[in-house]
Amino acid sequence: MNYGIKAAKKGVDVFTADIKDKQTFNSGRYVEKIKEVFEVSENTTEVDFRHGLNYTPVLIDYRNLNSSGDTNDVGISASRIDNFEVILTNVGAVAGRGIIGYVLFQAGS
Amino acid sequence: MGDYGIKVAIEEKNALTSFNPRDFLIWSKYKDFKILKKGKGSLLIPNGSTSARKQIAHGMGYSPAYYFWVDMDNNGKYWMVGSNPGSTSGSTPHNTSEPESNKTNISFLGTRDGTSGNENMPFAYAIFDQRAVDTYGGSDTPIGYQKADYGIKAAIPGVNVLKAKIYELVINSNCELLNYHSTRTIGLNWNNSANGSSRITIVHGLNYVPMFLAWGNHGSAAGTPFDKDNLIPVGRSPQPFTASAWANTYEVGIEITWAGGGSASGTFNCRVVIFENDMLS
Repeated sequence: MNYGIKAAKKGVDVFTADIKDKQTFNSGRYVEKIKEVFEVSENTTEVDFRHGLNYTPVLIDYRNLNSSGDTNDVGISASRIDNFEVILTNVGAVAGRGIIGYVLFQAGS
Repeated sequence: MGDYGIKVAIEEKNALTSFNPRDFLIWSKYKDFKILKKGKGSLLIPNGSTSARKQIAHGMGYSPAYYFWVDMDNNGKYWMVGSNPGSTSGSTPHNTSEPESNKTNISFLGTRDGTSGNENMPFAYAIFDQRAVDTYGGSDTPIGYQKADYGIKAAIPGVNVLKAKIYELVINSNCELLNYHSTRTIGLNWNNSANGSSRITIVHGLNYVPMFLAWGNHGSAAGTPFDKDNLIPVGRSPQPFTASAWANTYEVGIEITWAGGGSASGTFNCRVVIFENDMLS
């Protein structure tokens, strides 16, 4: 595509920048955008949310591994998703631990 | 919905009347999931040790969303972090676990069977602008990130785009974006009447190692918890069933293992999302 809005990393020619690592913006490409951010902060094992898309999108979610202190170590979680809903799954839930899930969709697809 | 912001619709879609977010190339209502920093390195497991932890300092002041891919066997296959396919499957004597993010660094643990000799595990990582559970704070600027006073920017409502923190920008052309390439779906049959394993590969043909994520589910198979898509690797109760995934410059591989002694069987349905981003550049 030789039209649209493009940007590249500093010092890189935008007309020749490679999408795999040098382009930072291209209105002709599909990019992952955040459709929903789901979050639970209580001692909950499972909470379901409807994401409103009629297909199964990308879900990446994280959960806090510590219940106190300021280290806030956060692990990659194991929640579940289909074309209807997200179920945030706080495995081994402990009071105060939170979980956050990002549902991403492919803009322009 | 605000009647402000930046909108560019795909061909034959009306940016003024469409409410479908996928109709838009640009819609500043939705934040980009931005890559603030990505990189590669190598984890050394020294002679005499079964494991080592690799930490990457980010300097952002809050726990960011992140991801690791690890070349556990040092052969060009980058596994999703947490993969533990197990040596009994004939796959690998190595595994990774405990990926973590905190206010100062991201990290993962690499382990192996045995303790003899030095071993290296090359890895790649991505740090995103959004938080992972923790609240925002700190400098918001990752180590090595050069803020730019040029380019295309839009901020969330109520925030001055010129003063916005990185995570308050919905569009920031100073960041690499997570560019979607393709989605592939495939099924692997399993039957735990006896020990077994199965693997399958999907050609992506990009000639570099792309960032990717993979999910899997058992559908409605009796006795299994994976009724919806679970981010791979999976391997929790009822054990033992594991699923792991890797990518190299040519293909993506999915590997599953299971133990005998049961009567469940079925198809493990996998969904692989491949991004155009080169994880190693």
